[in-house]
Amino acid sequence: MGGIEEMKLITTVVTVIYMAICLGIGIYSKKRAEAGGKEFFASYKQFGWLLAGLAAAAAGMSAYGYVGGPGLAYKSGAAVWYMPWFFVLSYGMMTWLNGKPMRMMAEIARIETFPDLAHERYQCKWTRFFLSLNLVFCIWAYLGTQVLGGGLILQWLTGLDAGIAGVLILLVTIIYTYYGGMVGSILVDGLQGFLMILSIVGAFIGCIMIIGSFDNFVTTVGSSSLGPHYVDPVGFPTEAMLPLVFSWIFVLAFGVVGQPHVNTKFYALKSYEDLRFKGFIGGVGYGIAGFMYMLPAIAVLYLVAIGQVQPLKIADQAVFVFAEHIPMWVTVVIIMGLLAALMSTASSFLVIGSALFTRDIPKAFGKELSQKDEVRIGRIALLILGLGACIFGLFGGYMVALLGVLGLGTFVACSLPVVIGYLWRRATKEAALVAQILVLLCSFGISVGYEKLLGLKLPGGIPGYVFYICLSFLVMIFVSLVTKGSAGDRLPEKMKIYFRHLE
Amino acid sequence: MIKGKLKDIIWFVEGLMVLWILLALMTKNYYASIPAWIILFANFLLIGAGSRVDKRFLIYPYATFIVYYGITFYLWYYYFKAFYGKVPEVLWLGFHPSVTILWLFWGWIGPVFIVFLPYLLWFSRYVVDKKSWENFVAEAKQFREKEGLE
Repeated sequence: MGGIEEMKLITTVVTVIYMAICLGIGIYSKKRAEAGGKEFFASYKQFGWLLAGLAAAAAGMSAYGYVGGPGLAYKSGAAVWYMPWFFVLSYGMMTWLNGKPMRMMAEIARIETFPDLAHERYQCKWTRFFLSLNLVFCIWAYLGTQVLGGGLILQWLTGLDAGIAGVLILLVTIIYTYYGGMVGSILVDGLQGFLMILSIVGAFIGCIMIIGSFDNFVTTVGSSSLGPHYVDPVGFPTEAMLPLVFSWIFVLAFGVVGQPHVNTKFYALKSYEDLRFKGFIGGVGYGIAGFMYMLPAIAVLYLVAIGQVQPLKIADQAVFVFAEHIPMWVTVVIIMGLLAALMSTASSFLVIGSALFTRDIPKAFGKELSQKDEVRIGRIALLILGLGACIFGLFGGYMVALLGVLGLGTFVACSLPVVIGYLWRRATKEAALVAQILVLLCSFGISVGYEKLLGLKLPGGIPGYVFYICLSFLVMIFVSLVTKGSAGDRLPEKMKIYFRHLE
Repeated sequence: MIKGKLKDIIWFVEGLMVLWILLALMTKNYYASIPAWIILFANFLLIGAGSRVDKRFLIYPYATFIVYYGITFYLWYYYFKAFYGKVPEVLWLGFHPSVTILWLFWGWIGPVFIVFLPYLLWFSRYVVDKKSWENFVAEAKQFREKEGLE
């Protein structure tokens, strides 16, 4: 058996053990999750700052950071590094903007989901409905890409078809999330957050073993046929990357501020005092994991520059080429980190997705379930959502790529009206509703239709999501100044109490 | 300090900053978006601390954020232009100086020392203290009982 085959076999065995542990944790947390919808969907007051912080870091880093990120960094150079590093700042912003308000909202109202926040603040069922709809599309998009990302990992390890391999990973995630809900998800996320951090130590050692030193990397790659743009801050090709770089600086600094699957971890904290450290752990954890965007790409670019590896035909293979050039134990750790990134994000999406179908969309039409029924129906919804994502990932073909463009941008744009709402008493329900409808229209009209189907670009070459994130923000501010619904003196009674104490 | 009319003004300014950023990006004046970006995100710190903002907060983290990101963006631009299209003659920690600014200064030092640290150090002062939290929880409980939500 050759070295690579042996390494793949060992990694596969460790993967199986790892997945068995995830399943075990899910089943172990079954009883705690079954206490009610608040526990199943929000893991309300179940954990301390360390676990919730690690879970927030793990949920924020998806398979994209471990496969797509290094792939894009291999293709375009250092310009891609803006993505993780401005995301770290967003954890800080999330801590200041969302931490205390989200905990306060959960004290004064029964909050389990992000649309719950919107509803309590604006008392508008249509805002809740359109927000839920926007989130449903985002979650499908994310789950579809997690299936693809997971597929690439297992395909590399076992030679399975990428689609089937991705479905296998998602199935394991579905099972442990089915039993444990958000409680199981956070417990597994804690382990996964730790594994992700460990994998960066491995990636760093592996990278240094290949390149010798970063000076050597810069000098070698910069003066090779690849050229200096691969080591400069705007990457290659410079002109094309410039609008993206500045768009990322703006959008990714919002980052997790508008990500419900990361923010809901605030509900999991046992005490308000845990807010102090949770955001910090999340940010630092993500900051460490963020090196994954850089290290494999640095090593592979170096290998290409010295002629040891042929230029890659598929950029997303960069992390796997890297894995084949480092010691076996490092590869095992990195693959575990990769699986952790993928499964933690997917399980969070499954929980908040099932809550959308069980709680948010029915509540928009006046239907409310008991806490026990929420868990029961939530599990069925989780199964349907997860299996639907598997089928979609396997047979969706071009549709997966189409919906895949609705990711972070739509998340941020549709979450901003909620965030602004609980920070500013002047924010009105009219503004929130208009913003949600515009985000839905723009997500499909601009990101899917204009950019993806027609292949056109907005003025300045900026991605469509920049436009509708700005639009959502502007509508919230300027429409609020000329409308009055559920704002100022017309705030619901509980919101008056909330704002009196918040301010 | 930051409440009532003043808070409305800050949100209005935030709207103008976002409009500025959008127009700058769409008209290809990418670098012009940065001053607005700095003010936009610095103001989020003010909004987060709300009425607890005091003079010390205005110096650190608020003004520190503006000065720090202002200087680092300038240095990033300076070194990007200085070594444009060639292998940099000066390396910081083994990288092109602008790249080191990217991962070290923007990725780590800025967020940790300007955004997280004041939250960690002065949680009671700038976020919430025990007494305020208990008062709120008591009033919230009273409200829930009155509304039959308990």
